[in-house]
Amino acid sequence: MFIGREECAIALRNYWENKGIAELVQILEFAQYPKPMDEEWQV
Amino acid sequence: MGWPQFKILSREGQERASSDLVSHVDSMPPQNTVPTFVSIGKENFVQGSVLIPWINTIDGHPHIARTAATQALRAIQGSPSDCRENLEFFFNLAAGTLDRCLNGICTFAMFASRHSDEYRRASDSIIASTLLAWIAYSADIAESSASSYFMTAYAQVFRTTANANANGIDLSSSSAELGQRESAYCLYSSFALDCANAWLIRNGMYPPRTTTFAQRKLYFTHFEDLNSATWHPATLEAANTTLGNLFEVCLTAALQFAKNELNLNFSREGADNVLQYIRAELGDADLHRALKDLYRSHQGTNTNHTTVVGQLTTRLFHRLRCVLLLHEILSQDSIYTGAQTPEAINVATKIVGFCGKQVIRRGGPIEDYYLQSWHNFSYLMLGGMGLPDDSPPAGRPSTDVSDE
Repeated sequence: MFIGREECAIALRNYWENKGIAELVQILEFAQYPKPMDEEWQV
Repeated sequence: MGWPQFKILSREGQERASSDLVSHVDSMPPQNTVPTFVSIGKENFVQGSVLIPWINTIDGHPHIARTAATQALRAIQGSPSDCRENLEFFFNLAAGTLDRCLNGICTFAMFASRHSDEYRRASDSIIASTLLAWIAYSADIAESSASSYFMTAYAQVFRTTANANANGIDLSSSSAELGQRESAYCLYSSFALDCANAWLIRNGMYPPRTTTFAQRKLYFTHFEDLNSATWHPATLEAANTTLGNLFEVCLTAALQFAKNELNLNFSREGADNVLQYIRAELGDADLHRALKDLYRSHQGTNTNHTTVVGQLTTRLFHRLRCVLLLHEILSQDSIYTGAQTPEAINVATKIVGFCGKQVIRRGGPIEDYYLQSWHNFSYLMLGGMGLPDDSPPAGRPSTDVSDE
């Protein structure tokens, strides 16, 4: 299972705004199964 | 090296360990020192014994199984046209031979473990099992059997070690008191246990801690001695695999407990075992010494991302900070409150800051796509989770790490 970059960013923003456990679960899930960044996003 | 085509995304050290065994598995030179087995207690022995009934075949030749497994691994690294046919042939040969020989090994271990040849046979079969497990997992061949091969190696180690103890042989004795084959057995069994545990961790389980950092460094030193061109310094390899496992254990546990909390289940059942494992690893004095040495050599003003070792060391310390963050979170009564403690916020801020200062850029010496982006992404997610609302933006990329 891979999760897109945008979803991760949205999850972080939602957690910062709401501090909810659901968002926390999402962040931990995304940290476990992130989608590797596209070439264009590489620094 | 054919490993980048595989599905294994981390455990670089263990991947290369399996690969390196291809070239050197026949030699098994004697070791000068012997690792100390830890936690070979009743509980762990029972875990191994449960698997023994599965091993129920006639006698065979572990050396043939080991050689065939090595050839199967070589086939993966060969040309694509020959790969599949040779791979399947040698894999099946190794698997069949191993299957036939395991009962003989167990019988021999039970009644005649005072004989050093037993350890050679055990080493052969443990290596064969471990190689078959990695091949099954990574090369799309009998993938479902990978777990069985890891567990077979696991069971053989515990069985042989326990029988040695029962026969008055202390495998933690000094090398002078053990023969060459006993010493080699200790070395390869440590490696096999770590591979099997890595497999368990990757599948969401928390295995008992069965090897020490010193043991890991010992077998990586052995691999480095055999082929210094393939291997990074043993200290770095051992620290990398140790923190890799710790990171996965911490993350898996934190996610599990957070999901429970989401369902209003605030039970902490199992948390003590996880924390005990984490603290045992983090409290290993040899790991501390290794990290200090690596920091002095490759971090701060010595940071150098033009080398693989330099990049790997930076990633190692990114990973360490994430482990410390997750440990802090897991140490609290709930994941929810743990993520908001001052200590967690402090570590999270460090993580994001250092990820910004010490970016591991693409186009550098490490060309593995996942090695950079997968892990960096995880670290940023975890660090971002703990950032305070008034967090300043991360610093620009630099090598200034003096504020750690």
